[in-house]
Order: sequence, then structure tokens, then C-alpha cells
Amino acid sequence: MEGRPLAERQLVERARRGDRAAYEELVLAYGTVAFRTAYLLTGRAEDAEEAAQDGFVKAWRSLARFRLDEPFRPWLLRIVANEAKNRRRSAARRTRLALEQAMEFSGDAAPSPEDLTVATERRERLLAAVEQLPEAQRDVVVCRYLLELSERETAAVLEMPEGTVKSRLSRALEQLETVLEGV
Amino acid sequence: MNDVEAALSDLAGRIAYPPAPELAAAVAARIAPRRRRRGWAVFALALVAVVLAAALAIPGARSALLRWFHLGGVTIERVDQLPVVSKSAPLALGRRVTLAQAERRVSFRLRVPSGLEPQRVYVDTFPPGGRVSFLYGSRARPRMLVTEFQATGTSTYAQKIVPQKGTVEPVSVAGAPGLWIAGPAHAFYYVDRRGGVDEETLRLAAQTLVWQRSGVTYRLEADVSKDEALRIARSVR
Repeated sequence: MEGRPLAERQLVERARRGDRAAYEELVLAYGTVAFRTAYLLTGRAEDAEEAAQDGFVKAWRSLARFRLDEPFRPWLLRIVANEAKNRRRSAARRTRLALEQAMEFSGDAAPSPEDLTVATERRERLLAAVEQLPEAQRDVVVCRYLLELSERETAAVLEMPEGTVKSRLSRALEQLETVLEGV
Repeated sequence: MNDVEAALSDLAGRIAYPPAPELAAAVAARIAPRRRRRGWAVFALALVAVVLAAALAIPGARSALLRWFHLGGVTIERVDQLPVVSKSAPLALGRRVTLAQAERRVSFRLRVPSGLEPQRVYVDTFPPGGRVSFLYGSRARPRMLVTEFQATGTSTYAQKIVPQKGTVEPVSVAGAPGLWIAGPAHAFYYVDRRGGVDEETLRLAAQTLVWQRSGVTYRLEADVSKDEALRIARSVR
């Protein structure tokens, strides 16, 4: 789940002893996911960059309180997520999430252009619906599905019981289902 | 997993995120012990001042200050002894952007070594007009750094301290004036946007080629021979 748990653990141990180079390795390893977490929560690249950077600096200062038997990623992302939530702006100032350009297919198995358009429109509608969810549900959906965290990690990052994650997810999924069915 | 969950999971890999910023350098700079960093800049300035004073006060005294070169915004000083600099100094290159974004943010035309698509592009707002850095290889294992910024012949944008053992040789890069700086690592300083002296990493400063064309100063840092550096520099267009 953590990719390189052994290496990560060693890096965290070294960082806790004040090894800045080890911590820089952790920043390199988790910089992208930290930035993306902050971006999904704040909706603005500038806020996300600040939140991720401040989060890493605060995490460095809090390393003494980190328990080595815990996974590092959710602990770090919780700090980053808090920084991000403190920087949330009004909905109007959020950059709307967009999809990457679709990849090109070739060969016999390639879907027709019409099929691709339908699939893209469906995805865009779903993404727009995610953005319109109430914030509490949106955060949970974003962490669980867009960041692909487990329910347990989502609970840790958003600082809520796992039961709350489950109930918010199920309400959000019901809501999103109506959007998809309304095709 | 139901349909909605499957559809949401399908979205995960398709979100268009802005390019991830270069967090490692910024974080490293912020968690570095402040006192040492400040002390360094003061020490560097003091050293330059002492060298200048010695050269000016004693007629003909050129023992410490061997020679000055001026090239665009880069001033190179050869001094007797190279200060020891921490190897963990972060690369302060600015924001990581795409090549197209960098082109929009600077007031001069960017030139890229032909056939060498930069792997990482950074842009900084200082000096005026902007500064762009092309990093080849990874940040942890950099292989080459090409920096471009606008500089006039009179402004002193940067200072280099080259050890006496190092060599500084005037060269021509396809007709443009340049300098080849080889030898042990040398320090590289620049004036930051608040007017303070800052240091740049020594990691890549083993061999440096600096040249100027049409009001733009180019710097290429890599562990390569002079001929190789000149060959790459000639391809920058």
C-alpha cells in the first residue's frame, strides 16, 4: 500500500533524528500526492502549493510526535489537508477540475469517436457533480476515489471516524448515481 | 464495486492537475538552520570586501584578486582560496512550470539545446525579465543545468568565486563571447528579489560555460569536457 514501506520507515527514522537529506527524500516521494490533495481541497494551484509546502514544514517540526508504527502518508496528508482547508476560498474562486485530454487509440480495438465522446461527456458530468456535492461529502469522495486512499486513510486524513467516512460516502454515491442515471 | 464507484475510480487517473511545484527545494530551504545560511552570505560579502580592499589599498597588490571578468550579469572573481560550502544547499530555481508556461513568463525568447528536451523547467521572477532554468536528469541526480536570464553588460547580477587552481578561459560560442570555467567546485551567488545575497547550489557547478547573446546570458553547468559543453552551447538556439 505504501510502495516502499521499509525505505520509508528508514527515511522517517532518520528524519526524526534530524537528517534533513532523509526528509528531502520523503518530500520528493510524497510531494506530488501532497500537492494534489491540497489542490483537490482548495481548488487553486497557488493555495495548494502553499498548503503543501507549509504542511511539509509543519510535519518536519512535528516529527517527534509521529509514532513510527503508523503509516507516514496519511499522517502527512492530514497535516497538508488541514493547511488546505484553512485556505479554502469561496466556491466561485475555485478552478473547476478538468479531465486530461483523452488518450488516442489505434487499431481494431479502438472505440469509435462517438463512443469516446459519450464516455468523455459522462466523465465530465460526473466530475461536475462531485464538485457540486456538499463540502463534507465532496472531501470524502475526493480522498477515497480521486486520491485513491483507503477508507481508513480517508478517515485519518480528514480526522473523522471511519463510520462517518462510510456514511458520507454512501450518501454521496446515491446522489452521484442519480446524475449518472439521468443520461 | 458498483457502477458509480467504478466510474469514480476511472476518473482518478484522468484529472488534469497543474504541474506539481518543486517542493523539496523550498521545504529544504525552510527547514535549514537559518543562522548558518545568513552567516554564509555575510561571510561571502565580507570575503569579497576584504579582497577588494586589499586590491585597492595596496598599489599593485593583485595577490588575492587575480583577475576580473565581466560577462553579462555574471561577474567572476578568482580568489586564492575557495570557501567551503555545504553540499546540501538547495537548488533555488523558482517554480516548476512547463516549457510553454516558461515562454509566456519571461520577456526574452527562450533557447533550448537542440535535441535535448528539458526534463524539468523552472521559472523565477528575478532578475527583472525573469530567469528560466532547464534541469536535465532528476533533482536528486542532476546531470545538466542550463540557465537563461536577461542581463546588461553593466549590472552585476551574480558573482562567482573561482579557486586559483581552477581555470577561466575566454571562449567563443558560435561567435558569441563566453567563458569556460573549469576546476574544483566554485561558489555561485546571486542577488535575490529582496536585494539580499543568496547562494546557489554547488552540486552542478563543477564545470560551467557562460555566454551571452542578444542581451541574454546563458549558463550551462554539467560535468562535461570543454568541447562537449561548447558543442551543446552551439546547439542552443
